[in-house]
Amino acid sequence: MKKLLILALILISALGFVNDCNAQLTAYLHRVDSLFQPSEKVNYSVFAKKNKNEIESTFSTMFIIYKNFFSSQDIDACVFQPSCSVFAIECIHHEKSKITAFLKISDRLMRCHPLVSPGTYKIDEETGKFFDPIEN
Amino acid sequence: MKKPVNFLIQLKTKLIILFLLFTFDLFSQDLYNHDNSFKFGEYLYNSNQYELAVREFERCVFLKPDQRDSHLYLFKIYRKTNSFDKAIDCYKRFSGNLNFSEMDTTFGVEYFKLLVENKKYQDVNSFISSNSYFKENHDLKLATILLGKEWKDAGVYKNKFNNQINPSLVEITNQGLSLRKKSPVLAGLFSAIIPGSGKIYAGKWKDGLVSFLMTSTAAFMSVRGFNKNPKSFYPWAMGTLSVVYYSGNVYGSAQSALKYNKDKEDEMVSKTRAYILSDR
Amino acid sequence: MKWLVKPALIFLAIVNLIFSQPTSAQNLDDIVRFSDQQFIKGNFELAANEYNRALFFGHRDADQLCLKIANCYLSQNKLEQSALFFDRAYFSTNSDSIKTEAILGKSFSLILDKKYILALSELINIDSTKYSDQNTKLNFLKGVAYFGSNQDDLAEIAFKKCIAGFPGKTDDIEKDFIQLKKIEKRYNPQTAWFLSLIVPGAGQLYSGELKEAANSSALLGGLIYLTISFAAKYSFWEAIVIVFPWFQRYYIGGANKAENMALEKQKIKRNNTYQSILRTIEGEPQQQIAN
Repeated sequence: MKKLLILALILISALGFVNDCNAQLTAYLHRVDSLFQPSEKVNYSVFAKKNKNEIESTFSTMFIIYKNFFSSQDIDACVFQPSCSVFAIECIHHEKSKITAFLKISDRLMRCHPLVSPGTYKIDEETGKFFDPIEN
Repeated sequence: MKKPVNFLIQLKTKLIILFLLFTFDLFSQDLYNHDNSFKFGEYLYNSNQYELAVREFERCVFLKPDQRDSHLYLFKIYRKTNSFDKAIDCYKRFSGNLNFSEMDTTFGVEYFKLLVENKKYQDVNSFISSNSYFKENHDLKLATILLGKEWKDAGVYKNKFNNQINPSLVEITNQGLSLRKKSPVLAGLFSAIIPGSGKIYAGKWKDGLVSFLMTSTAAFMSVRGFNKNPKSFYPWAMGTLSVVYYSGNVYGSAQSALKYNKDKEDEMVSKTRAYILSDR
Repeated sequence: MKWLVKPALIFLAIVNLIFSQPTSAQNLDDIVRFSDQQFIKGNFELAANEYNRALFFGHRDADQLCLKIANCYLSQNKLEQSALFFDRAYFSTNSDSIKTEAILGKSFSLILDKKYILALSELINIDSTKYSDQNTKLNFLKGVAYFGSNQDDLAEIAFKKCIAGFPGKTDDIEKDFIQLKKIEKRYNPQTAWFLSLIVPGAGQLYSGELKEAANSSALLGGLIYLTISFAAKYSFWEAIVIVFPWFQRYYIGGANKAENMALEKQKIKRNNTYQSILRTIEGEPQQQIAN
């Protein structure tokens, strides 16, 4: 009698375990749904929304044209993240004095070359490029 | 076996079971009481499950508000999960005020770490000089001076208490004293005379070489274009480009010198931080 | 025999007295029951806390508790913590089924972290298990991990095993994979790259990107015009040195972009295939439960 009882208990607990697993597979399916979703294209027109004056509008228009028609056909040449063009447009939006912005941009253009020694900049994990944001 | 004996055994078994149940009841403690919560909290803390450990220690504090250890654990957890305000609140609840000058050593060390972790070096300085417990702690005093980037003061302090100071801090001080800073004005001047030389002075010879080549090529092209056909667009474009490059390089050289200084000093500071924040 | 009963019982009582721990088993079971309830309700943090308590105060089923804690962390998407507790469950148990469950759980959290190769190195240790539902899960996870590491043939086998016994569904999956192979042939990145080198813009056209093709050919045409006009105005060598490098840059760049476009197309189609496979499999567990 006792043995039977123990056996029954074991069976019941095993059944409970099995039920658990079935419920889990459905949960599995929903969580792996988006694993292979291709990444969305970056929309550069968001930079135009930050414009405060005519100079900024002019440059962000140039930036969008460059990004869509020139950069989109270019080799992957820039060694930095954010890339030189994004750095430039952020600089123009961020710096109060546009002269400083120009100086910073031209300095950045000259620093962007394949000889950069590793260790000078931090590495951006997502892109594997040198991380060099505009200073805040 | 005979029937009556069987019956007797059954009766006794029941009695014994009753007795056993009774003993269980006697010995079973509430798992949610203060001592058990504290032990469990310590286990969660040691297995890095900080979010869960907070619950336990909060309950401990609720049950026995005057137990300082639970407060201390909460303070540590809030420090490690970067919740500055919560940590300060926690100390306020414990002591009833925010008088940091009377903070005892164990809480004090944690508060010191909290301030360092949040880069409030100014507050670290005033805390150390106001709290009587830390006046004799030469390690932390020297570390405070190092965090303020006062290398000379640190050197004087180090010489004063040389034997009582941790060797790794002595080494950081020595490195700080031997720092040679680069002058941004000089770097700018160099680049103004020969494009790129300021960058080389600031320790970036590859950047210097590239800027020299780019600036001089643009200038050369422009001059050549003007000699050949001064009315066309091309030499003007190259001329503008060379001016942009030239001025950018002068500015960039000065910035590089500043960045060089900052990087070297930050390296010392981060070494000091690592020394303070490591669980010695 | 009669004389033995009494001392034996007293002895048992004493032993019980000595070994009865300050915490009662009853109490711990209550805690686990409470946490189970909280887990079902979706209060994963509270559930993890209480499971941990039961574990710490010596509940007898340490292995199952570790599994449950791991599942709590998995549900909160704290993948590293969850993998840690799956490991702990694996090393604290003697039961094969729990060991398998731990491996499955750990590889699932690795897959969610997109570490497919690591997940495979865990999964490859188990061939098959006694329990059919664990087998289903095992093959499903293997399928996803193989698919993620671009080993489509092995992925196909695993997915098919996952729904073995449903011939119609197996055929569906086979069709999906045949379709996928066709698409990968159709959008070959090397072909796209090569086509763009021969005629600028052709690779983009091959990948079905009309706008990009026009963009590329217009840009390169413009640069060729600039080179020629430069050569006419100044000298041939000047044109070669100053303008031609730009042409070269966008020429190679265009080819690379065409290659990327083909790859991107493949990715989109791969995702579609994957979704279709998931939908095929999704029907199964519900049917099993209904049966």
